[in-house]
Amino acid sequence: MKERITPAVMVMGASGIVAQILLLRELLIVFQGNELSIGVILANWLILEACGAFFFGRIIDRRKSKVEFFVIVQIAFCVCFTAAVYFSRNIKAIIGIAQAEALGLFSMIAASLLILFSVSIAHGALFTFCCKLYDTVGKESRHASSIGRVYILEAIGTLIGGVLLTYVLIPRFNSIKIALAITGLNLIVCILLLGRFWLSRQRSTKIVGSACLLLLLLAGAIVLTGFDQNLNEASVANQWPGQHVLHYENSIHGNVAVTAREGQYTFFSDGVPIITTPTPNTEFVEEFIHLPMLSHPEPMEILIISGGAGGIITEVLRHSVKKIDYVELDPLILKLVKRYSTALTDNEFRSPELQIHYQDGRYFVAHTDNKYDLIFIGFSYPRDLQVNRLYTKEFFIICSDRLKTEGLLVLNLPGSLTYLSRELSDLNRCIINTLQEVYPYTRKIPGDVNLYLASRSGSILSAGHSDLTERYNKRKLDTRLLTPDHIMYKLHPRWLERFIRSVERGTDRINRDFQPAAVYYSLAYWNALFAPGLRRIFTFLEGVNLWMVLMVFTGLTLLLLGVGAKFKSVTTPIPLCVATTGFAGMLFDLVLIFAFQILYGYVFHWIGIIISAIMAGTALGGHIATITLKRTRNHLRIFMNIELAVAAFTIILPIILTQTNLAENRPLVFLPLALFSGILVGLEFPLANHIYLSNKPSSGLSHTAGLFYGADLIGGWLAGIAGGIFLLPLFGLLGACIVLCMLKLSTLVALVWALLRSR
Amino acid sequence: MTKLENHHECIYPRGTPISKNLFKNGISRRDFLKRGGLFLTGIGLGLFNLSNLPDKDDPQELNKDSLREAMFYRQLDRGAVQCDVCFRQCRLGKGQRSFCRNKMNIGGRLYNLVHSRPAAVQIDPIEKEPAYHMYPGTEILCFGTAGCNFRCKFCHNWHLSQRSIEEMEYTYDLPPAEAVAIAERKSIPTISFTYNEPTSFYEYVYDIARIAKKKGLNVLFHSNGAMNPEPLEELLKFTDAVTIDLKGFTRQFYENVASAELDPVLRTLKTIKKENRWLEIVNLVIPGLNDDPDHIEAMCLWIKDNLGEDVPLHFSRFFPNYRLTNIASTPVKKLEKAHQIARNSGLKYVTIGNVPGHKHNSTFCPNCDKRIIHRTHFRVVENKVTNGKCAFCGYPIAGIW
Repeated sequence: MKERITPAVMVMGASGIVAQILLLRELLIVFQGNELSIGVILANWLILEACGAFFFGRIIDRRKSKVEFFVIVQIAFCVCFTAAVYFSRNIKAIIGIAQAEALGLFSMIAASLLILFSVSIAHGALFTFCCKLYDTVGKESRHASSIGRVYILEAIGTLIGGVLLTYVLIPRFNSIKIALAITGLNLIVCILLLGRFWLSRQRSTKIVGSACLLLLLLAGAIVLTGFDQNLNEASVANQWPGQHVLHYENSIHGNVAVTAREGQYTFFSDGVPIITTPTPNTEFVEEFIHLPMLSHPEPMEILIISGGAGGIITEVLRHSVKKIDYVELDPLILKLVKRYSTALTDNEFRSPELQIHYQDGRYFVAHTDNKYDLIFIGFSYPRDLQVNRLYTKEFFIICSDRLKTEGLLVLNLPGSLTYLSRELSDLNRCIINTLQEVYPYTRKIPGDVNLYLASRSGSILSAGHSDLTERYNKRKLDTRLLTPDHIMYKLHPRWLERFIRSVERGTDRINRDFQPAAVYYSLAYWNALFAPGLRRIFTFLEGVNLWMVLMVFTGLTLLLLGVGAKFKSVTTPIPLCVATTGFAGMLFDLVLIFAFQILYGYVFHWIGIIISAIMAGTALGGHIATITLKRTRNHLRIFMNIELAVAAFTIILPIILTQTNLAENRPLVFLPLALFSGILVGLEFPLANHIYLSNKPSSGLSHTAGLFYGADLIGGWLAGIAGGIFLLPLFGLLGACIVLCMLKLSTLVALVWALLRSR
Repeated sequence: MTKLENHHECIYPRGTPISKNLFKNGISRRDFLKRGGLFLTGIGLGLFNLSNLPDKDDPQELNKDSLREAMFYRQLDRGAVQCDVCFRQCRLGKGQRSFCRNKMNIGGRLYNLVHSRPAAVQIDPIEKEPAYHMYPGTEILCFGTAGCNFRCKFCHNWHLSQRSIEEMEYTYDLPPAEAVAIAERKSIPTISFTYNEPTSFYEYVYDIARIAKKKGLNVLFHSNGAMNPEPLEELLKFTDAVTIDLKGFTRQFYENVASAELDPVLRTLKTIKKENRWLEIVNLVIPGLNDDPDHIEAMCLWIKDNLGEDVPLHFSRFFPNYRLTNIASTPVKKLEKAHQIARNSGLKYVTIGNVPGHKHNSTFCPNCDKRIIHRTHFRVVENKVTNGKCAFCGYPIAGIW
């Protein structure tokens, strides 16, 4: 029997990570690829799984047919997982939001809770059941070590699951098929576990076994008949009612979908339309291209980063340039634009001046030796960390090196000719500040889309209406909207005066790779659409700086010491230490995930690896700590050392991550970092329990475990929500880690204080 | 101690897996629920409430004397009032705010909080309105401020319309007479109320319109058309032309996408026609939401039967905006089909907007089919309407010329 449980535990570990990552990716697509939502999803998974472990874990004790009950939960997990994948794509309709509508913060939290609910609860219950089973059947082994083995086996399963999912399953199969495969695997394990159930005397065994077999056959039939493909297509098609979905594919960067309607192709990146053919937004493409191109006396070599196909290249070609280099952040978009071509894109791709580079846009710019007259950034705003890679000071410096002396960097941001709200002022101002850090000269052309031209040469930006008109006539441009009259309208000083007055109210921050202030302002802008009531929170937090946090922490620590003085026990601050370590654990996860995205832009691909490494590390840490407990006596000292180590790691981690040579594609560095941060966090929990109980035997195990568990969970959950949305975007990676360090140090000080008092 | 040894061995660390360590002996359910549940509920409720609160607790220093009392409202029992300006007819107890966010019951009287406080004052081409059959190529002085009685998910001016006046970062202090003086000083022939819904700042519109007409200026407003007939008729006395957004032609669309109603809009259209003011209609075509050809045809026939064939109808191309961002923009072919349907229905002046350079961005003579007003986007390239007639065939072209 025991040999049968071993694979069951490993499969459970693997299934857990596959479900978690697959659903996270599906939700991420629904949440428009906004990585900041990862914290929300992980936090919700954490808390739901805990609920499952806690509430259902106790039920199995009361059951006689433990294996059968385990199998039932296993079946529930499989069915819920497959259903969750299907429904995750239609979650908007389920929570009463139109498919065409974007989701706000609260809808995101609700949607992720709803999708993860049954899956993570069932998985939480499974782990507990596994331990019970292992315990029941493995009488020869001692209870604790049996749990230890389950832990290690599950961790191994998690690692294998994470790697298999990332490198084997996702590249080959759609999510529904993967869910069905996991279902099949789990059912086989169940059947093995039940043994020859048809010979069993127990009716329940027979029923459960038959159900497994039946479901296995059903899953097999679905896959073999290709019905999973139909399910997949149906769940995808529901996302674009009234459109014909031609293509739906996940790349390493995210999801790309192509829809058709009335002869128009629309290319969506994570649900957001980015290219429309054959008729683009004429107003945008003509203004975005011709105003900068006319500002340059002789534009010859052009670089377009993103959004080039479907209009922009056509407009650039009207200026008889020598060469256009074109890259996308996600090369899959390019391939699909080519595949679903129209006369417009055919002409663009056939033009001899165009050279397409199937590479990550930022990587290309960092490594090319070419020099350009104009570099166009085609995104509409730094809506997430991936896109923000093109709006930071670091990237602007790289661009500056790729520009000729008279070269221009061109980008656009949302604006308004009628009224500039605070969010728009801040977002625009943040990018203006950043441009001005690198380029001595910037020109702003306000509109409903604001244009920014940045250069090292002042003369290039002094071109007035008459110069532009002269060039317009000389180049014999055949434009629909952008005529000399329109140029005059766009460059009228009244727009600029009003715009300058409005953005003067904006922020002083600049946008950096590891301090993505623009992402914070984009978030505030996006939030204003959905929950205007939260605007003041964003405004308030924006005013918070590290000194204030330090003051607050110092105050809190002093308060704690004052309170602590009354208790003469070393144990008082321990739950607090556990809570802050829980916080640290989740924040380390997010720091690693965000840093990966900032550096390489394909965390969508690697998130499974990072998370499974962290989880395996945590399990390993826990195991090491349990072994250590038996061997050493001075547990408190070890505990304090670990506390110190966590505090130190909060500073070491960002230092390692911000090493410039990491920017060269070196994702493997993230593996040991993830593993180590997991171990560090994992070490603390068993120690904390032990110390607390040793010093306070009266509190009882049940109370202690509940206390620490709650503390750890609250810490982790808070970090997931607050860390992802406020801490990291606002303070940056280093700043967030410094806040974390302060937090850890304040609990450490409290611990030392309590220790001194108790002596 | 032995007992303790056993205990600690049961407890394992966190991470995702930790959660699973509560199996043996378990924590007390009460502890868990108390700590976790209360904490989460607290945070959840707190955040939820915050999201529903206005940006500030109270309107800025409310001084009744400086506020303009609302028109068209009635006093009910116990100090309550009912606003009668739009179809919603908000009933407000003391201190309550209207749906459009702009009116407040202060001491049993209804006041307009945004009077003389525009947030956008701007000069635009009249084509931007769009008002294509009214002094083509001239400028208009536009006014807009906070508030709206609709909740369109695709609102282009949500920064203004979906906010209260207290939430605005800046507004101008501009009494009606001064507003009119700006137009006179800059020699702008027409004043327009646009950007957000004029119904929501009715009293300001009314006061400016009255003065403007006295000074010989033209008055135009762009509305969602959900004003009640009585205030509408009163305002039309001082109005030359109206552009109405007919956002769709099904009650369901109005309800789902704009949280509003279709019938009041149709009533408004008829009233404007009855009062003999110049009327143009805009229909923003949103793919999958209001672009059913049958509905478009029904709309066109209704316009022809109830308003006449001379009413210009503009089909506008939709681009993702505000909350409606996970959706494609309108295919141009769709707009062309809509144009065809409208022409076949007998409407004489049908154009396509938001597609610069499109042939039907221009106006054609219904008689000789020649292009009489050549436009690209909002700019008039050539105007072949002379004395209200087609310069080619002499056919009278409806409008204000």
